[in-house]
Amino acid sequence: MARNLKADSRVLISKRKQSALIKLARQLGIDGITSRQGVGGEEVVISLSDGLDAQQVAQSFEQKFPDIVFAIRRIEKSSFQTRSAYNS
Amino acid sequence: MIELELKAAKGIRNDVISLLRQKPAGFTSATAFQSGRLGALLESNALSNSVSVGLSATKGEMFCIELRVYQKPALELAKNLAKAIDSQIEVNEVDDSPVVIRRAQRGKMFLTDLKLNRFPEELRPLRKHKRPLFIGQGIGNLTTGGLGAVSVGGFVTLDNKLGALSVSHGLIGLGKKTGKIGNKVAQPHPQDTSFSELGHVFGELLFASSLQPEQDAHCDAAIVEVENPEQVLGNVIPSRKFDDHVANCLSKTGMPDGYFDMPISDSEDEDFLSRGNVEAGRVFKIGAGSGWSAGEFVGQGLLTTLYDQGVPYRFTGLVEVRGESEEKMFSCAGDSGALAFYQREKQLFALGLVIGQQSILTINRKTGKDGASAIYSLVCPLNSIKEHLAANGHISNWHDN
Repeated sequence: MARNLKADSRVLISKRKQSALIKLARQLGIDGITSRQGVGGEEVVISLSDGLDAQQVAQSFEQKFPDIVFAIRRIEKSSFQTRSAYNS
Repeated sequence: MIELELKAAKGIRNDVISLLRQKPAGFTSATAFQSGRLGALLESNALSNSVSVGLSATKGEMFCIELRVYQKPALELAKNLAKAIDSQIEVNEVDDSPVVIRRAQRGKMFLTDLKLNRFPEELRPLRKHKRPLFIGQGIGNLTTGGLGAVSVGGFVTLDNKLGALSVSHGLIGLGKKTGKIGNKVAQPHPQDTSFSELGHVFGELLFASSLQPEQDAHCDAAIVEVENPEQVLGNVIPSRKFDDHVANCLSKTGMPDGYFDMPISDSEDEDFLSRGNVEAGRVFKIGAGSGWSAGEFVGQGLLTTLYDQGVPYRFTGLVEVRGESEEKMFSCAGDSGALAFYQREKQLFALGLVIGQQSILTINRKTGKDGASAIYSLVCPLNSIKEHLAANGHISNWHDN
């Protein structure tokens, strides 16, 4: 049966705050910001670019957005998914 | 079934390809797929089901050649094939009843009987002998090489024209574009064939969103105007009755029987991204790269960067989907453009188009060390595509089944 979490699991971060998150991400050279449902509710995941320090980046975000729960991850590899030759 | 050694198998495959280059009489749109690391699967019009010749790998260094003939014109090909491979296959009977091609033993080739079966009569007279076009098929820009093969993600009407929906990065290219509006688009893509002239052109590129380095994009979509609307099977899960690469792929990748022929409806409003609206967070996909797959809705990216040859392309609003396990990824190469969808109360709804993938490492906040790894597929929501089309003055609608 479908879980009905609609009432308490919608994306709660306002558009304004989303814009502010993206702006800070650009300033810090972050590769990605994702909103997702964590155990305790909505959280924001920061995708680090190469060479950035996880703790420093996390602190920068937490200082500016103390009401948001952040998680950190590092992108190992990314790609578009065209096929250049038959996948044999 | 014939079993033969690698060297002989390669020779026969080359003979088969050479024959198809001549476009045998009676084959209106014969196409050739590579199959496995050596094989060649040759098909004619999939709806008229004229002929299918397969050469595929088995265990070890042994290979099988299988020849299936469904209509009389194909028998001519069978005879030519036999001749081309130096009379090692002898056609004994060429009439209505199931035809048996006898084999001969020569050198190290061990040949067994080949059975040629007539296709069931009732399935033959379909849709004016046009090759069917359905979601999940591999397509590509025929005019401009090098862009690679992508998948059909659905059908839309755009400015009153019927279009096949896929991704811009695979049909017109990234950054400095290499493709152009009006380019011919074929299925299957020449990358999936042994030679381009047998790719079946089904339309021209009508629209493609622009993707530039360092510029935010929220839409990666392209639309190919379909020349013959009767080709289009609509926004439904392709039926098993079509003896085609994708249908085979679907059955091999474990799609539950109950999904065949199910229609996929237009995406709902923005609430579909709220996890509570997706049954147990499950998302599905049909693509030319990996067929059917299931995954889990993870979240929506406010900002996502995908790299192509070291050049960053930034997107807003992409949905992240995680495969069922590390071994079962949600998508792979060739799945760009594939339709991701979800189920709600026995109905399927479009979510968006697969465009790429990221492999990530979580980082432990307390220790700063790397944690678990995961692979996420990235989906461009259909709603973003519609918004982008509208902003560019195009009226689009999900094709009504």
